[in-house]
Amino acid sequence: MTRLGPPGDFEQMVLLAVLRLGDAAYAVPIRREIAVRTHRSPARGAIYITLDRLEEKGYLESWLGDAAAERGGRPRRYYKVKPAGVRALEQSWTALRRMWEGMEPKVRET
Amino acid sequence: MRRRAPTDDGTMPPTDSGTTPAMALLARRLLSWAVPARLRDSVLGDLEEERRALDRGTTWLWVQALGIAVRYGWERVRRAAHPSRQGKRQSVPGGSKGDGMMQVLWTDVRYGARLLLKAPVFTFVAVLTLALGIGANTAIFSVVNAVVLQPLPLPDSDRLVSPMGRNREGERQFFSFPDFQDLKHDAALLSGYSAFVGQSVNLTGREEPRRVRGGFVSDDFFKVVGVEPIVGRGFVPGKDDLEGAEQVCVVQHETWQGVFGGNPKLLGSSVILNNEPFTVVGILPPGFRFPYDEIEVWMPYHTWPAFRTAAAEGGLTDRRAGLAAGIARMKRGVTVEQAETEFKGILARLSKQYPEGGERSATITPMKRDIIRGVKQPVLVLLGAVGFVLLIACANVANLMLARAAARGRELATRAALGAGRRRLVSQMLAETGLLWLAGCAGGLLLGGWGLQLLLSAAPDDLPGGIVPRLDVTVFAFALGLTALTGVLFGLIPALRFSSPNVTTALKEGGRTGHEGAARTRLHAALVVAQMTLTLVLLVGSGLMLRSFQHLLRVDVGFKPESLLSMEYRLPANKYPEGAQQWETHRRIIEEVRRVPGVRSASLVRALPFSGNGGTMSFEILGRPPGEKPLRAGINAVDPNYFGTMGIPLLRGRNFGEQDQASTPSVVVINRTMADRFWPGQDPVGQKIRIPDNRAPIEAEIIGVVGDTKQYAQDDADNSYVYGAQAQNPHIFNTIAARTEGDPMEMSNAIRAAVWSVDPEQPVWKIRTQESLLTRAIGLPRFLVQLMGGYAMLALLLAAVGIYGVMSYSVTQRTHELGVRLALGARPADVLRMVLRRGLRLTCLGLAIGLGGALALGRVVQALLFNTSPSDPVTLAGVTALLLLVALGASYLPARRATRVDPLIALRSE
Repeated sequence: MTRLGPPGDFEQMVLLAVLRLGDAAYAVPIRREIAVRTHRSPARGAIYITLDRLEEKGYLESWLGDAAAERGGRPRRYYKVKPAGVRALEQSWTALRRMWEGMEPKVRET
Repeated sequence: MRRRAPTDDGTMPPTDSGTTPAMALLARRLLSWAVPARLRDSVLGDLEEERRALDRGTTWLWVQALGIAVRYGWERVRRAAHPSRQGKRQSVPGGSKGDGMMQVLWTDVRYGARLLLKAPVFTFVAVLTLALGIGANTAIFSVVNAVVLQPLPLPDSDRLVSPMGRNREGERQFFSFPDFQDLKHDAALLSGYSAFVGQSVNLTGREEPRRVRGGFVSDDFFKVVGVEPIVGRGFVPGKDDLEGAEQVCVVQHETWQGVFGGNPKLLGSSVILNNEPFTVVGILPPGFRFPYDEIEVWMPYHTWPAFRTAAAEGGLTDRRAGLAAGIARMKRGVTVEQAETEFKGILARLSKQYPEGGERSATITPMKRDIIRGVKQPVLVLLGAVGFVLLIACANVANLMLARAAARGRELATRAALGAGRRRLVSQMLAETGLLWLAGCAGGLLLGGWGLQLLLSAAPDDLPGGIVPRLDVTVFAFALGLTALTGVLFGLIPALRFSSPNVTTALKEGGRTGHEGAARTRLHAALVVAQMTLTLVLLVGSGLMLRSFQHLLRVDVGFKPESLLSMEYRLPANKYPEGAQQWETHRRIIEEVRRVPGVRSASLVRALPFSGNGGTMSFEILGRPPGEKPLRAGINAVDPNYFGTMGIPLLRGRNFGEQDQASTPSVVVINRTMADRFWPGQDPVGQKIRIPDNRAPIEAEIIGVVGDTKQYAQDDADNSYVYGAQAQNPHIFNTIAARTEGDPMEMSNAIRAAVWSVDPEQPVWKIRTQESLLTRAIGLPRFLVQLMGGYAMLALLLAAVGIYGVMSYSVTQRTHELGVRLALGARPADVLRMVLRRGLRLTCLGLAIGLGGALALGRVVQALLFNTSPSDPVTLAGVTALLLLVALGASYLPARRATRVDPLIALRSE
């Protein structure tokens, strides 16, 4: 089994995008979701590599869907967050929230 | 953990529409190569989906595919660098086929790097060898590039030419002024033709007088050259070239900043040049440099003192008085030959029309060629030399690689037996070679940059014409091409060697390599022979230059250069218009100089030896019929103290004296060569010669004969030389030569002050010791000897390493055989002889070929040699002996090791 490193920033974004998209989570809408919500336009290669890596880490699973005509007869690869991925997201969020506790006004002041 | 879909292997036939099939296919190939197999289809599908949704074309697809491929490539590098972070699906090195070439390549590269780091000495030697070879070549090539390949830094400079007149004997001469005007008017193939002459000018009216280098040019000069003042204007035809008009000048930007301290009010102000006011009307753009002289101030041609004198004496209409040369710009598409033919045609017509000017012709030289004359050949010879060094370096690294591959033969064979394909084995070897190559390239480029700096700082002079070598795009491309070539040369040979590994043979042979690899041994031998050949040629080349340089150093220049200080000055012609005034001033100056404490003797000379000044003249011997060709001799004018001050011996007759004045009959002193050539076995003293002059021919009596001196350089041929008395031939220009007690340079201020005591506005310049002039004259040969010597030593070292490596390898291979021989009673001396014999056989073969090559290539360096034959037996023998000795030494170490082979261990070493 792979060592489960805590997901990085971008990895969290990808995981959250997959969660948000539910059944329709494949690379194209995942990238669009991140772009729309963060106003950043991640590189396509970065999305693929991150998806691949998250799958290796055991946070995601994937499968090939049916071939589609508008895709030149090629299938989509759909992704779903595994329980380990959800746990990792929760841990990251908790850790961050704890660090943030009581800090918000101070950060705003500075 | 992950679900594998049936289509995972990506075998679904793609049905593309909307993109150019070929382009799309290429993009798909790129992705298939970069992206892991299981993701390939979905990635392609995603791209196609987006492409259609965004209504994009094939280019977009390409850009995206490239972006993704680059990301994946980078990801691989990152993972390889931090293996602990990699995911569990990381493939086994070279195992799975589907994971793309990148993966395999990366594995090979890492494996290669580990192997190279395990053998640090081998790696260091190989990389250093390559880096030295590439670096030396890059540095020299940047000079070749600047000198030979790049155009001069002037607009459209390939259309700039230097026409020069020729007399009937083919000697170079200025055109007469009317000829020049006719040429300028009639030459239809030229878009412009401007007179130019460079001469130093006195700048006064300041705290301290100084000399600036002046360029006297006709009005369209700036148009011909293709430069315009950034401030103000150039010369206006019909305005600035008129006698009596306001005198104007144009100043170089650097001169404005330097000599005039960047004075913002310089434009429009007046400066005193040659004792006359000139208004500054323009300043040239920064960085502009006229290639012939480092001109500081430009003035109209008619203000050139010699032109003024000629004009006053009616020389402007005289077809015999050489008064103008210059530069011309050819029209677009005109060749130099066409322009020259036209010039010759015009001059042939003028020769007929105005026969008083004699039969005359012209040659037209491209300005570039005119400027790099004298530099081009040495530079090319150096490039050839470093090329040899590189070849030797390549042979060396190839040999090292071969030996290494041989040492790993068993490992490779085992891997092949365990199922590694031939391609994998070769690719792995290539990856290792590639790493060495990359490191060598990087080191080479670095060394090349440093080498160029070193080269330029060590060079005796700047390159002519403002040529500055740089590591530019051409050099970079050359270096890349060169390194690719080296890669092929040293990398391909060992790789080819292993493209057909006979697995079973290698395994069976195992360590017992006594009769293994005859072909490989032959390859080694061939490489060693090639190295020896190249090294010998290089050594002969540098040896010849060394011999030639020794000859130069031993040349007797004919005078004593020690403790001799010289400086030049030019009196302003308008301040001292009459010859008598000029001579009187010179006389007073030299008298003041003689009074300076520490000056043992001082004299005046028009053209000091090795100063670069000098001239020739034609003459006739009275009482003899004029020959086919007029006789020619060098000409100089000196004061009575000159021969004594310089230490030139008086061989016959008398020296000039106070009795020789402008009012007394003309007298001359000649040198020994002239006496021997024209009066062999006779006494020339008392004979008379006639010297043509613009005014009237001068008849002069020979009163003495002095020893020969060299005028320009140590390698001058012995030429006839005539000395006139300065009192009888006054001129505004002069050189002070003073022999001092102690360090001559320490006297320079006192001597300059003596000049200023006569005329405080008189600048003096070129304050130099005679010894420095002599050293400067052999600067280029010295530099060449040092460089060639350095390259030859490098080659020698590489060759020694090469032969040592091969002999050492051969001894290792034959350990078993040698052990058997020793066990059967061979004496160590026999073994030693046997091994040495083999080394010497290779060396001798290389030397024999090399000697042939050296003799054949001798012509290339001949022009650079002085008093040295390209087949100089001393050099050839010495170099051969040296190389033989080095080869013997390099073979001796492995041979001695061979004698110490313990038969028991050797036999047991299986």
